[in-house]
Amino acid sequence: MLIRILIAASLLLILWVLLSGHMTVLSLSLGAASCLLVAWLFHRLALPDPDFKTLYFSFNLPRFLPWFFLEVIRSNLDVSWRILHPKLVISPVKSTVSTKILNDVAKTTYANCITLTPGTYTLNVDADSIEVHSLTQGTAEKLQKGEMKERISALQGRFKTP
Amino acid sequence: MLVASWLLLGLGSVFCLIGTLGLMRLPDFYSRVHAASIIDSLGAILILLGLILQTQDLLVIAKLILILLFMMLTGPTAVHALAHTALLNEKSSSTDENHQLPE
Repeated sequence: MLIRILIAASLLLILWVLLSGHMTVLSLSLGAASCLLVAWLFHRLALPDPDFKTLYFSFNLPRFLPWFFLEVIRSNLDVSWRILHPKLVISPVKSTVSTKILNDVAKTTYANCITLTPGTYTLNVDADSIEVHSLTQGTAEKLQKGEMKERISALQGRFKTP
Repeated sequence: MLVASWLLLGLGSVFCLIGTLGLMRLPDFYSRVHAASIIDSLGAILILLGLILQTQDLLVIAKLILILLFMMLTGPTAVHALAHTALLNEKSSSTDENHQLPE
């Protein structure tokens, strides 16, 4: 428990130094004190994560992010083209995507990634499915094929079981 | 460097404009949210990247990257809150035939 508080506090301290830009003893000690306090408070608030699931998840992100950013750019261009098209070629549709193979961290990431990509966004999150609104039939079908879900599921690594 | 910066700023502004246009052109509430998320994602990313190229100060660059990260978290949250509320309203008023979402 102490180790987790210290890890969280040192990450927060890096943020403090970045934002303040001052390296004086007074500023750093005040920062360290408040970071420890916040880390302790959050330890009491947050859900237990004894296996460092979240940390493991973040270490795997560099593999996922380049693909995701390309996907964001691609869907941005697609939606922009549809908006600028004189005939507005859209076919809005609601659909449901199953998230049974994802754990909680992955579910949140998946829902957020869906919303970050224009053309799709999350309407509702249930225990094992996500309700999505898509601007076109095509993007809805692409979501059902589940490439993004598989990539996020790969981020979970050895924590595959929910 | 400066040319690239202005190019990115210009492109970002273009995408913000397209998003705004979409907000007005698209026919219903749920579709309009898609247009808003263009402004949130590519518009904001390009403008912040352009701003990063404007400075050599590492501290300012770090802060701009932080702004980018926080926008990537708050944007989807806001969109989801908006859409989820619309969905709940729609469900609770489904008995009312005349009720429609604002267009």
